Amino acid sequence: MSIGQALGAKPQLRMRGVFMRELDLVTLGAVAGLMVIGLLAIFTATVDPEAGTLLKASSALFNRQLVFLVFAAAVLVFTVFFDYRHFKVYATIMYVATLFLLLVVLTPIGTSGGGAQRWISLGVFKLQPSELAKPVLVAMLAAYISDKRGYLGMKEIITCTALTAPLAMAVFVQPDFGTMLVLLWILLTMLIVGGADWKIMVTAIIVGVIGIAGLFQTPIVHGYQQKRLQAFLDPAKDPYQEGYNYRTTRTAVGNGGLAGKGLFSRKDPVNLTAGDYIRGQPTDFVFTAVAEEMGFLGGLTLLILYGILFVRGMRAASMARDAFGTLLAMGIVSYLAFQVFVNIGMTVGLVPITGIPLPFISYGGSSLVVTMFCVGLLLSVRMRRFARALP
Amino acid sequence: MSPNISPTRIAVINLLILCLLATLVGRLWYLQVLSGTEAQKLAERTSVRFVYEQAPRGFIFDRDGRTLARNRTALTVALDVSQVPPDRKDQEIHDLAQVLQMKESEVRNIVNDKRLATNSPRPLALDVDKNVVIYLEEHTDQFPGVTDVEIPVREYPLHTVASHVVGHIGEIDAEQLKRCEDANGHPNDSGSVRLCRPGDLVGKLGVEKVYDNWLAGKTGIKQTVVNVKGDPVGQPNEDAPQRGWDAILTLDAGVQVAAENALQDGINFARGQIDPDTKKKFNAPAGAVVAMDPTNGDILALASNPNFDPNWLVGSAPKGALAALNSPKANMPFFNRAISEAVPPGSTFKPITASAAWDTDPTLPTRQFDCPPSIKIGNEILHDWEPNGQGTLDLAGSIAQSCDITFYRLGVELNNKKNQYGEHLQDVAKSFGFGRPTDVDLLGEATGQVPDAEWKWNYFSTSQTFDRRWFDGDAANLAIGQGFLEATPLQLATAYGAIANGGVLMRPHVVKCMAQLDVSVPTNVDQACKTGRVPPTAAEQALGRVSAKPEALQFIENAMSGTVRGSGTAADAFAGFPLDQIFVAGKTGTAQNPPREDSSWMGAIAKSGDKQIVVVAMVEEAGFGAQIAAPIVRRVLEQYFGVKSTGFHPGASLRG
Repeated sequence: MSIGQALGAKPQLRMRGVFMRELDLVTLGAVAGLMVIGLLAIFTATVDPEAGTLLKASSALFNRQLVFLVFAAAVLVFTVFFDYRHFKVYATIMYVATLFLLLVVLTPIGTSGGGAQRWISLGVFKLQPSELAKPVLVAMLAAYISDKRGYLGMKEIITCTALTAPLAMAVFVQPDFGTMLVLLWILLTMLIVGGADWKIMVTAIIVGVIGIAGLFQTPIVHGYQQKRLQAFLDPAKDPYQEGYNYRTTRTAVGNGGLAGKGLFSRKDPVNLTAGDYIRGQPTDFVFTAVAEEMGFLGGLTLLILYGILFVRGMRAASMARDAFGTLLAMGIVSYLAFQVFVNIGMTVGLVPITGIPLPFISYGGSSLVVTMFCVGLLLSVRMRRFARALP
Repeated sequence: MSPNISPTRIAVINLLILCLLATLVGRLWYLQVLSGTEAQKLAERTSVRFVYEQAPRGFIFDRDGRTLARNRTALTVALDVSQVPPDRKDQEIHDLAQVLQMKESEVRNIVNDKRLATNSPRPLALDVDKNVVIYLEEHTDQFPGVTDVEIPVREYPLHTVASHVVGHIGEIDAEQLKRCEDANGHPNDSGSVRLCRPGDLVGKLGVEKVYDNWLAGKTGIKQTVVNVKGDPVGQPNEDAPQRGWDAILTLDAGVQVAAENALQDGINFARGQIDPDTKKKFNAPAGAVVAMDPTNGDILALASNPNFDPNWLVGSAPKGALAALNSPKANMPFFNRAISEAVPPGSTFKPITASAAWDTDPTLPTRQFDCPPSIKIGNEILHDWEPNGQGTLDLAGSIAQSCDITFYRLGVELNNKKNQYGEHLQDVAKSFGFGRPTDVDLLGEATGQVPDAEWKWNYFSTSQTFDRRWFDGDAANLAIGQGFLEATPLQLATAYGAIANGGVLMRPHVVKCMAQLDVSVPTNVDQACKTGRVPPTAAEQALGRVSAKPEALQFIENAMSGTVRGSGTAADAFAGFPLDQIFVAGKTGTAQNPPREDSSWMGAIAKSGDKQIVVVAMVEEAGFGAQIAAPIVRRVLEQYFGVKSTGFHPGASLRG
């Protein structure tokens, strides 16, 4: 009998060709490693050094992250057993739902924090729809492009852009410039992989770059974004306000040296609830804690783990049975890699500061759950490479 | 591999992603391994952060210990800008402006003020309502960095009383800041080293300004060592602020209040009188009173009208009040007419003329003078103030009844004796302190002017030669205190002081001593001044001796006592005053100052027991000296000698 029959319980498994042996343990291992580093980073960034035992010392933030992690792991398991091809069918509904949630965020129902209105408060948990928008956009574009037989002309490119635009603008208005960039990156990647005409792409990229540069000159882009860009280009000019973040994080990272200063070497915790927005350590700048305390070796390990995740994901894309699977996997890997590059890049001074979380590491329930969901999809794609078509 | 997806394209994306990761690795290698040691040094590098605290300012008291200036605490809302996230700033400025009922631009200016320290809370609003503070405390997440603090605010409990002498404080300006910085490290006149920072409150006018170095005390400095993240390392080093010296003034608040009230009454009364020359009511826009002790130069009262409430300048002005003070209609309330306005003093100058004439003519006291209605001097007809003439008077009578004709004659005689005595009247005038500052310890003193031939020649440099010469007419005008002679009420008081004390010109001063007091208990002034210090600008000092014979001064003083009795010009105004117990010697004056109306003057010396005082009152464009200025002088004397007052007691309409 087939393995599917042996395992029996869920309808999906009954399909032939879904092999548990195709469950990529390497990916799971990398994810486990990333989770461990993530927990360590948050713990050390928020620990109260005065408390007696390690147990008491953990902060509220860390505890919540732990809970999120457990929940996200459950989501991962569920997604693995979920046939990703259903996602193609549900893509439109999910798109509309996500857009709706993004608009709700902008109404008075939405919750603000740090100068932006990005969340919907659900009692103990704050949902951030912009995190959801990323895989949803990937799925939406993948669904559309996968029927286009490997070539995207002008009409198709415009349609893809039109699909991206509502989400991007809804996110931009919050304001969440970082997520908007990720969505644009997703559009770009999907178009390239999907077979967009080279000439059109090159022209579009040039126009896009000029457009964004132009946006910065106008008042549409918030003052603080412009200041951030200026501070990035010359942090010495404003060392106490905008340039502050660049100076301190770069110094902190460099301070890590080869082997790091050692875990829990920071003298005092950063208290996010007291409004320490400027440091933002457990969220956007969490990599600083990794770099300073674990050094180059720690950072390298982190990047290697990400690398493994991405490489395995790209292999899954190559091995996928259908175009939708390839596109889905490529989109996911691409946007996660983009986030890693931008987040770590801004900590080390390669990229201007934008608010993008570091997957698995940054504090935040929405980011964690969505990222695990995406990993689940990657695993799901690989697992079903031999599956038969859906009825 | 799925159909339709080009492997090349996938490979492109794959390569891109791997490149991104490689770039990160490379950058980390650079920062951590290659530049690691530099970063380490940077992370451990410390810098010193200074937090300054302005010292509590010294109080100002009158000679009996009554408080003229003190500090109170005001509930203030302040903002620590370094605690505000940059992306929240605009929103918070908007919200704060609403809550504090200020203009958004006002809040923004304070928040963006680059001169203030970044890590000290900046006061936004003074005397905030308690409910506003509670609201802000309940919404701390909406207002990061906002605190409420009690800060010291200057208070002038007597409001407009002695406002020109006490002055007021305000924010330090660029010029004052520069002067303070230039003196960096060197002790100032109070003996301490001064630290001036932008935003400091310093004296702007009066004693607050002149004695600012004493009153300000020593700024406190707190030094904290911080690492590159801004976290403090080790214990801070504190140099506590030191409270400033307290000032004890020579002013007598009781006399000051009496002088100010009498001055106001006089102005009000004058505005109700008709000027016989113009047939219109008198303008009486302003006036001044000076009262001083001729034995030591202590100023007992110095009033100038219009005045102002200095409390308005330290933050608690009612809406529109400040704008009203600065409008032309307010008639320059900050201008101290007692020391800064130099105008012809009119007949009050006659005693000095008498003294000068005495030097050249020993028979002066017994001479008889004819006082017709007018006299011809050169080509001009000069009139007496009394249109019917005053008969024949001796010198004493000429002083008491202020016969102009007598003094015209004396002026001309002095002028004609130039070859023998030089410009004697001018020399004597200068020895009495006219034409030069009295060196009083207040700012803005006018020098005044004693005209002579050379002066006139230069002054009319663009006129015909004929008109530039010094004529008998000029001398005649000078003799009665008109023409180009200009004096301040303080100069006149100082001159009369010399008549009172036998010929010594005492330097007037408003400060008695500087002391370091415990202001929580009532002030014992005598004790305070024993243990305090007298700044050089306030020391009792003689400016010189006047050029006059002692017997002349004696005679003149006696003659002046005739002004307030019998047929003296001020007899009406002093009717009922206990002249048998208190010796009063004065001189009225009605100064012409065309095209303006005549100004009312009186200067008086009063002695009783061991108390002596000189009082000068001047009201611009108010008519006769005897009518307006004399009652003011009387009221001041009543206060000083403890005589029961009958209010403002105007004299009859007599000129002179």
